Amino acid sequence: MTSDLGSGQSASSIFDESLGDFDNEIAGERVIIAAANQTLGGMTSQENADAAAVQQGGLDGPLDIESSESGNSSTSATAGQTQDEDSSETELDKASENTTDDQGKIKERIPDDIPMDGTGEDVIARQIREAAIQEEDPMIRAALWDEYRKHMGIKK
Amino acid sequence: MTTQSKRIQIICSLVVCFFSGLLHAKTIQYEKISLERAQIEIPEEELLDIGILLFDPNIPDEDKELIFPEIRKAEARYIPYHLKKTLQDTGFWGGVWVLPEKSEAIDLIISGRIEVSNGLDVSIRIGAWDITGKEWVNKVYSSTIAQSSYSKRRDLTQDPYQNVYNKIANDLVKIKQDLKQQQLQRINEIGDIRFAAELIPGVYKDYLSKNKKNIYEAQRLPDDEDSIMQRVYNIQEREFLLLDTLNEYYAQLYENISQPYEDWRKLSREDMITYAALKKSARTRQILGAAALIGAIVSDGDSQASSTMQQMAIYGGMEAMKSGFGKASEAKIYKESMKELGTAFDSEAEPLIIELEGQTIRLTGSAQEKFLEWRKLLKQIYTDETGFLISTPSVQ
Repeated sequence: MTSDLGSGQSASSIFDESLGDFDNEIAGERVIIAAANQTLGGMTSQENADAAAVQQGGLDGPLDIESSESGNSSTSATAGQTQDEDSSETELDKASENTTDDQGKIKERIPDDIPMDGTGEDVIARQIREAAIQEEDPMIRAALWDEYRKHMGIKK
Repeated sequence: MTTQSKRIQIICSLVVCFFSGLLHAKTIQYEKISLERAQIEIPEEELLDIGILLFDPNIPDEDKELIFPEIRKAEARYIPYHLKKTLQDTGFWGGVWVLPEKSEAIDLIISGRIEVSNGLDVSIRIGAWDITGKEWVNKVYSSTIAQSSYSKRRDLTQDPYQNVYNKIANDLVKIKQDLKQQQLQRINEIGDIRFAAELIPGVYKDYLSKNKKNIYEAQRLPDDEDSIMQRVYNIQEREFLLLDTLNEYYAQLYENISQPYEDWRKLSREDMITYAALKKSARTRQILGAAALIGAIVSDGDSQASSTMQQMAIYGGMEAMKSGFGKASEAKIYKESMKELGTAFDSEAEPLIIELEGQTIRLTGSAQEKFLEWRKLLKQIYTDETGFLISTPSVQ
């Protein structure tokens, strides 16, 4: 005696499917948690990178002064300074190009149905968005955007 | 010397003794409780799972000074999580989870109420019951916290309140060690049946009975081939999976508030000590000052000597009272500082707790729907497989 509960499926198979659905939901939840932890970890890495950059700047400073002091004429020092300014400008140009590239990359990684400006996002949604943008693997990125949609109530 | 002069002299001596007594600080004996850890791996059948319910923050209905609701709410989540970590650290237990509500899938349930927590003193009432209904622990655990407990050079896995956690963990281990392997196994089995009876009472309710002491006893055990029981185990696994996930959220809150909470406790401890000393000093000075004044005024000696002593007593009494009022106003300043300190952490903790609550409600709400669905399906499967219809009484 096996009931089909009106769907053509037995209670036993519906039960097994339902367990599977639950497992998927929990797996999705784990992705959100991992994303949140990753974002927190990312912030720490960023802070570390900033600290390293500051430290590097501090090391570069005295070395530059030493090299200009060791120069024989004021002209060479001025030339060196000009060269530094030139290289700084080049670096700035590169940085602005990189920023434009990054923005393009971010735009590419945000699906069309997701608002670009993050309107109406809460903390969790923002963390999922950041994790999705940073994610290199397209499959995981798509799963993260699915979670984002689910969390924000966006129908695909 | 007349009786009157003697009386004034005694009062003067009292005032002098009092002031010299103030110089002697009270010595607090701090305890150091070590955590008992398993020296060998415990066999699986002797492992019990533990669920620690979120603690009762014990927030008074009316505003009570120096009890900050959001701090208490944060503690009601932080303390169970650190207790979970401590219990896991012992190696004596199976799974240990923080629970938002009671679960029939867990062998041993711990509940707690925060009585006092101000960085200096901590008192927590702990109750522990196993799934058969037997009480393991029901007592208040207290400790006075040493300044060194907040040292940045200490082992940072140890909470400043670690003594209390270790006492609870050691008590539970002691009780567990007094139980025979058979008894531990029976707790496990009754736990499984209670979980099954919760899901499908019509089938498993009769497997259990309660004795005169209201303790569950197993009347019979499910057959190894019981296919419904296998599905119950599948659901139990999902309950544990849900708890694992919820505990990830509790872990996030624990990590986020860990540092600000410790900072608050450390500063609050210092303020508590100063505040208590000032308050005590102010009260004693005022009382003794008043006593000296009254004593001097009522005395009516007529000699030059007694008159001088009377004036000295009046002067001493007034000075004592004046200094008492000074101390009282200093204590008031410290109290305000403690309030500010508490309010700052209060507002830091509040959004984190609200976020956690939202996540918990969302996750448990969705899981509850699934559990309802599984209950219905289990009933249907039972009928499909046995041909018997189930009536649905409650297990309790």
